[in-house]
Order: sequence, then C-alpha cells, then structure tokens
Amino acid sequence: MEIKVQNLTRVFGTATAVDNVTFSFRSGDIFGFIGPNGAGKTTTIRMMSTLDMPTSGDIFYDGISAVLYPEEVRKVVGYMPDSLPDYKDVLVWEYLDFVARGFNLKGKVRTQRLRSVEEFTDLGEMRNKPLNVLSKGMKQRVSLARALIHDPQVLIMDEPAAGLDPRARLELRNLLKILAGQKKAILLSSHILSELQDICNGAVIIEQGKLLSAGSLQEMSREVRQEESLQEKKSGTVIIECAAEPEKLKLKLLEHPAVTEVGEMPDGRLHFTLQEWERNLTPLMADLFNAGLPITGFRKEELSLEELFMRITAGKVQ
Amino acid sequence: MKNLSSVNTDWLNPVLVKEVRQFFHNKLFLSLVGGLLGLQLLLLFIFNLTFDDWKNGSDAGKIFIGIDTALMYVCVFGICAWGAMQRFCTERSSKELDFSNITLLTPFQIVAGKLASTLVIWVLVAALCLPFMTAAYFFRNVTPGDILSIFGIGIVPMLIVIQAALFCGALGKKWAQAIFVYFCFQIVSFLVGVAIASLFETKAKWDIFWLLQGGGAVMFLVLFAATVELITPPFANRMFVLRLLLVILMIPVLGVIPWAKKFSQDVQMVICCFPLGIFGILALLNCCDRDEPGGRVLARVPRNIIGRICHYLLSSNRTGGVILGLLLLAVFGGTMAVLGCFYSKSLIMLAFGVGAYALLYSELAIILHRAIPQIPGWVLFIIVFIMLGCMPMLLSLEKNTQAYDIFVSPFSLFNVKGKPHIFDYHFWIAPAAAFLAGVPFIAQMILTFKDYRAPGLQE
Repeated sequence: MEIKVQNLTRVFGTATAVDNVTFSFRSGDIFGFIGPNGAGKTTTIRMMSTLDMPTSGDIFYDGISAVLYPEEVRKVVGYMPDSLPDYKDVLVWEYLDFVARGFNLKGKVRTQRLRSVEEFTDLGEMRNKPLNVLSKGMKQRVSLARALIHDPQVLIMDEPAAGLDPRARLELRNLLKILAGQKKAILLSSHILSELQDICNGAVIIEQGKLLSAGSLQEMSREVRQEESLQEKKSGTVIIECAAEPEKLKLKLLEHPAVTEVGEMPDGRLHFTLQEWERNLTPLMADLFNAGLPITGFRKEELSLEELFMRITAGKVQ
Repeated sequence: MKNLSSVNTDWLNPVLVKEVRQFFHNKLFLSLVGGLLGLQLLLLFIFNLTFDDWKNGSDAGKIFIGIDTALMYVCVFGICAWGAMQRFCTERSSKELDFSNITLLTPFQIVAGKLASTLVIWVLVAALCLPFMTAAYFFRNVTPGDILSIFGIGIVPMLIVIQAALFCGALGKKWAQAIFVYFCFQIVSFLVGVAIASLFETKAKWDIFWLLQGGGAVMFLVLFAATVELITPPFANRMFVLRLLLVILMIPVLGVIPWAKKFSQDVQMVICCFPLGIFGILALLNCCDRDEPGGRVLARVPRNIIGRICHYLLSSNRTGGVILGLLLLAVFGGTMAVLGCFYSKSLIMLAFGVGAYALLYSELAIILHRAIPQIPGWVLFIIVFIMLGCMPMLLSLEKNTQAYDIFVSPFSLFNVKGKPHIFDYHFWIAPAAAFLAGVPFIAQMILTFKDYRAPGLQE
C-alpha cells in the first residue's frame, strides 16, 4: 500500500497549522514524523487518521481519498493517539471487544482477533482490569491493541513512546519492528530522535507547519551531504580509529592542509573535517599509514537522525 | 442452562452492548438500584403498618402509587439519563475518544445504541417498580388499568428526557448538564403532577392527552435527529437526517388535511400549527448550514436525476434548504387552499403565515451572511430565533393585539388602531417577501444544480 499526502494544508482562524505538506511512504516502511512542539505533527496525523479535515489538499491510501471516503480509509488505518480514555467502568477486553464490534468483526473472527492482539501486546494478564487503573505503559499497549484490532495495513502513531520507561520503550520498539516485518506501513511521531534512529528507515521533518524534508534516511542524508558539499566546497566529516597514540594522530591530521577541524569523540575516536574529501581522503590515509600510525578503521561519518534533524532545521524556517 | 456469555450478541448494536456493560460495572448504578428497592420496601412497610388508620375508600393506594411513580421517574432520570449523558459527554470531549472517529460506527448507530441501552435500563428499573405498584391495588381504589395508564403516561416524556440527555451529552460540554437538570426538573414536575392528577381527576381530557403524547413523540424524533446531526462530522452530510425527518413529519399532516373537519377545533389547531414548528426548525437549520455542500457530500450524490434532486434538497447546503422550505410551504399552502376543509380559515392563514415568516427570516439571515461573511452561523441562528419567536411577543407588550396577529407577524402591530384582522395586508407580506427573497436562491439553484454531482462525473 502506498500512502500519499498531497499539498496538505490546515488553517485555524488566521493561523496555518499545516502548510502545503507533501510526502509519501509505503508498506514495510517505518517513517518517523519529526518536528518541535507546535510544528503541526499532531494536526497532520489527525488529518491522516480522518479525525480532522484539511482546509485543502488530501491524503490518498492506494488512491482512496481520506477527505472524500473517510469510512473506507478507516478500514485500512489504525490510529494510536497519545492518550487513552480513563473509563473506570470498562474493562480492557470489553473496550477492545467494543472497538472490534465497531469495525464489524463478528463471532469467531472477533474472538480470534481479540486474542491475537492481546497476545501480541502482552495484555493477557490485564484484560480484566478497568482502563483507569492501568499504568502509562499498559495504556499505550491497550492503545496499540485498539489500533491493531482490525488488522490495518497502515499504523499511525502519535508520540507512542512518550512517558514510557526504558523497558517499555524497548518493548514498543520490538513490537514496531515485528509490525514492519508484517509489511505494515508505520508513521510515528516522536521527540525522542534516538528512539526513532534504530527503527525508522525514513523520516518526515516538519517545522512551523512547513515540510523541510521527507524520504528515506539515506536519501535525506545524501541530500544534506550534497547541499553541504556544495556550500562547503565538498568538505566531509571522517571518523577515524587508532589503536594507540591518538595525540600523535591528532597532530598529524592538523598538519595536513586539507584538514580544517579535528575533534575527539567520547569513545576515544577522532573525527575531522576534510576539504574536498573525495580527492584528499586516499592520499591522507596513505600518509597516516606511512607515518606508522596504527589505524584500525576509518569511515565517512553517516548522519544520525538527530544530526539530520538539526542540520535540516537549522535556519530553514524563520 | 445455556451460559449467558455464550449467547450470540453479534446482531446487537455495539454501543448498546458497551453501554449496558458499563451500567453493570458502575457502582453508583448498582447502589441506586439497591436503594430504590430498599426505599420501595420501606414505603410498602410504612403503608402496610398505617393501613388500618386510613378510612375505607381512602386514597392510600393512589398516594402510594403516586410516590412510587415519582421514585421511578427520579431513578430513571438519575440513573439512565444522567449516566448516559455523562458518558456521552466524556466521549465527545475529545476527537480521539469519539466513536464516530475511531470506528466504522455511524452517528445514527451511536445515538440509537445509546438510546437503546438507556431504554434497557429503564425497563429494568420499571421491572423493579411494577411489582410494588401492583401492591397499590391492595390499598384499594386503584385498578390495574390505573396502574398501567400511569405507567403509560410516562413513556413519551421519558423518551424525551432520555433523548434530551443524549443531546446535551452530544454537545460535549459541562454546561449542557445544567440545561438538562433544569429540563428534567420541569418534566418530573409535569409527570408527577399529571400522574397524580389523572388518578384523582375523573374527567380526564384524553384527546388533549393524546395530542400531548403525539407532540412529545415528534419532539423526541426531532431531538434524536438533532443528536445524530450534532455528532456527524462537520464536513459530512450533517443536515440529511434532520431534513429527511422534517419532510417525513409533514406527510401525515398533509394526509389528515382532507378529513380535518371531522376533528375538534383543538385538533385542527394542532394540525395547522404543526408545520409552524417544521418551518421554524428548517429556518434555524438554514442559518447554521454551510453555503457549499463540500466534496464529501458531493462524492455521494446519486447519478440519476431524481436521486440528485432529492439529495440536493436534503443535504447540507443552504440553497437546498431554502428551496426545500419553499417547496414544503407551497405544498402545504396549496393542499389547504384546494381542500379548504378546516373549521376556521383563520387557522389556515395562521399556519401558512407563520411558515412564510419563518422562511422569510431564514432567507434574510442567509442574504445577510452573504453580504457580511464574518457573521457566524450561531449569530444568524439567534437573530432568526428572536425574530421568529420573541420579537412579535415583545412588541405586543406595548399594543393590544389579537393572539393570531402576534404570532403571524410583527407588522400586524403597526396595522390599524382599532381591531387588526388576520386577513389584512400584513399577512401577505411574508409569503410575498419570502418568495421574492427566494428568487436569488432559485436562480442560484438553477445555476449550481448543474455542478451538483459526484466528482469525476462532470460532463
């Protein structure tokens, strides 16, 4: 399934919460939806989940318009909000059973589906507890179970890791990996970029309602590199590892005319910026080997999601 | 015995299943049911102890059943209606919790499910009260017929209260609960009064009673449709259920017109005034409606011409609403004029006139909105509401006018110094002005109807 967000705009009074946003992703993708507070993430997610109507633009799920046919779209989309009701008179299984009935699941199919999501989200022991006594982590599980009850092909999650302890985050990450393995398309918003780094293969970066970048992480990284290369005369950052004598290596690097900046990383490795790195890297490495330095590894720095976000958002939006 | 949990409930409305489950998990509900049983037992015990003190032929049975009925009403309002309203209010407070957003349930299914669940609980409460009411028979002077009629009197008002609770809940605002409390207070007072009075009053006016019940049933239906409309997403076809209901409600009125002379003057009055309510609601709806139908509505327009016309008139768009009002008014006025079998011509004039004024006010409000688009729909709603309901009344405080004139038109107050009459020129202002004001809408309809079709089907 392919999900296309096209020229999505949402205006509240005089404020434009989402401004002409366009991106797409497909089955098997886990896309991070990244942006600071008030960037328009939740508004976009709500429109994608048919909870809100765009002022203009549309979202297409395999060509089906979410604006014109929200009922059809709801059949293929599972939405996990960042909050769950605090009903004191509804048990976990009853809540899931109701949602399953709301998606027209009947008889044995509903029972099996219920059992399946309870098992998947490990809610077995909690099924007879009322919703209001659940911890944040458990509520997130119920929320995920609710989103999965009708076996949707697309999962849209709003801050799923917010408020979770490290263990619950790890478990959530594992669940998401399994879901992506089942060829579900997943879009999740989060502030915790390091969490997304391990599971996402793509990202959508948004700030003040405007799309800054979208695509797979490799594509985005390449784009940033290209842009930076053009701006900084094709300079690049290289990470280098040395078995001994790091100080000697640092001095040797600084002596080289193409090296502009050398820094030390917390794990002892060095990183340096190399002008016209494509031309200069091989001669530089040859020099270092010839100088007898025990180089054990070097690679051009891959941008982390956090770095990508920082570089993409830096100065782009006023 | 078959296990209760193994009973197939797939055919039931999901909201009904959920709500009933919630009722039985609610400790307050269970304690109130216990309390109701305890109170009734205590009441029976007290009456039994003091029965010998009552004189033969006394009203002990009537008083007992009166108190028990009041207890039942309070319990139904307290448990069923209040509980349902609270839950609906919570669910509507956030879009993430709203079932119409997170499931495939339609607004109609949701409201019907909530209503059905509340009725189930009402039946349960009634089942708890009826045996005690039957005990009143042994306190003399109460027949089983009295017991059943007391129970029957409450059915329609109870439906209205429950639906009003759901309507207030659908607003999703805490302040709506205050409106409901006031509404309940009025209805409980009325019900208890009527129930007790009907026992003591030997010459009950049954025709008025049935009229009230009929009016109540209509009110219930309108409240139901309005609740469905409230929870329908703003960009969907919000007006459909309500407009369809108004059209359906007009059919029996038109149907009874040929036999109108056979009814009493009171009933004729109701038949004539009924469209008043219809046009009033239609006028207010037109003010709140949106100008353009929107893509989501257009996507569902049928392909055939008849379907398209019906869809256009019944769906969310102001022009369609005005045209529907003009059509209904023409049919209603035409039927009465042709058949003319009413006791009084004034009644015909009254109904026709009020309908025309209602339509005129709504057309003017819409024209005002188009001239100054910044005016929100709710302001127009209030303007029309004041013009329709309050202004003639307020003006009449200064003048000594006849009741018919007051209701028909504020212009009547400036008519003549002596005795203003219904057939004077002021009556004809509304139909003529409504028609003239409707001309832009008719012209617009002809122009816009061409494009009123599902996307991708444009010729």
